[in-house]
Amino acid sequence: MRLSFILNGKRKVMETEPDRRLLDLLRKDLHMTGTKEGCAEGECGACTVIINGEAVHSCLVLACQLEGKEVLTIEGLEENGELSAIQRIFVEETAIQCGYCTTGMIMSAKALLMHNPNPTEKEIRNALSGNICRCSGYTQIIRAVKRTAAEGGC
Amino acid sequence: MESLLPKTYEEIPGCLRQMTEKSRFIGGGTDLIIKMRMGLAAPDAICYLGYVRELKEIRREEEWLSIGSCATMTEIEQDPEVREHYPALMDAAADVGSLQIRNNGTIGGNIGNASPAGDLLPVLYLYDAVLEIMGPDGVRRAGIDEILAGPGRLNLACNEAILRILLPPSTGYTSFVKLGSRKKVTISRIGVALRIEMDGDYVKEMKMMVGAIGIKPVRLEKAEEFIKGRTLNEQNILDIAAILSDYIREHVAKEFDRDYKVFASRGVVMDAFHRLRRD
Repeated sequence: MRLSFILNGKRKVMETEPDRRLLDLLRKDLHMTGTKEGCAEGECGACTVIINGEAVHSCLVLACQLEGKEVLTIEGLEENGELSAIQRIFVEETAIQCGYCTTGMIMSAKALLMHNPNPTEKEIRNALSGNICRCSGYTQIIRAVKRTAAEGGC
Repeated sequence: MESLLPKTYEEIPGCLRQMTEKSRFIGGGTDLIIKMRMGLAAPDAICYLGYVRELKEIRREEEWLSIGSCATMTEIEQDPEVREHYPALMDAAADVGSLQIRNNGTIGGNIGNASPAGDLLPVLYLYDAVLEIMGPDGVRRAGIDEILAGPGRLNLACNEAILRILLPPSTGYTSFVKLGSRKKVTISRIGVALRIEMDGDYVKEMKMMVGAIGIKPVRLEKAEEFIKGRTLNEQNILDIAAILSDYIREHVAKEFDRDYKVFASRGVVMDAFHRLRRD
């Protein structure tokens, strides 16, 4: 099928199969490997991207569901070749250990801050409850999201 | 693999005509994609109805609420009509999986997947939901229990689609509480849906649907009879919990966590009654 959608702000037209997962479209077809595959069944959140402003699992969306939609991935966050505020603050707060969960974590946090620029800790924890990190105790991650909000950027 | 992607309401019947016994509808895909990857589903065609604007809408139709089958859990949870008039549906939608799942999974998909642990099902029974179904030759309506056949099975032809879920006016106080094995991102082990109408301090009528303890939601008529004309004091609520425990002990097979459910049902029932107050 011919698929036309918006990827990180740019229109993308490609020939693909209707049952191609968005995750495979990104990683295998477009070689955008920032998005990670974890459990492949919607439990771990590693593959989270933002579609039409909402955090979703790219492992649980097919190409045939994407026509005309706006997809935002970790690659779309950088600004003029620099890390965006949320990425920089994740680094500065050591909210990254092995790094595998990080892109999903950042995309879930980004979606939260897009809807709610001043979340409470409870709201942050709720928004990230579908993202599993097996290194940290989440403390640094929560701190990074709080600081991003406090500094008014995401 | 074929894809059938109607863009407008008028294009749906044409797509339905092309569906075979092996074709599948996809709502969000949060269940179907996993099944396809496990080899449990190998559709020859996938029909996605999410581009049809009308099927995303949640709106009042006179005294009823009409929910498009492609409305997501998040859209349902946040809808002002749902929150005001069908709070048990809000409870159930808000407790499905993770935020990513709720942003993607749909009410039509939750019905179509027909899991015994389907989060919305006990609540749709509680509110006597009616489904609007389209086939190649027209539209019909049927109650949720006529359509739900058992685990993963519906009484629908392969070319029939669920378009809308219609909820009659709701009376009394309603609530839903789900017990999982952890707080978030969990599969329902027991789901209790309640509707209560009071006459002063006394219960005029109660309806109680319990999910995840049978192949379809179970109506606990014995508890409904018991509480009629009584007050909602703690002892009476504990007696209702005991009726549920007894039911589970008798009807649930040991390998489906019977002993755990017998024990845990007490807390779920108490939580469901407390939630009726919404304070």
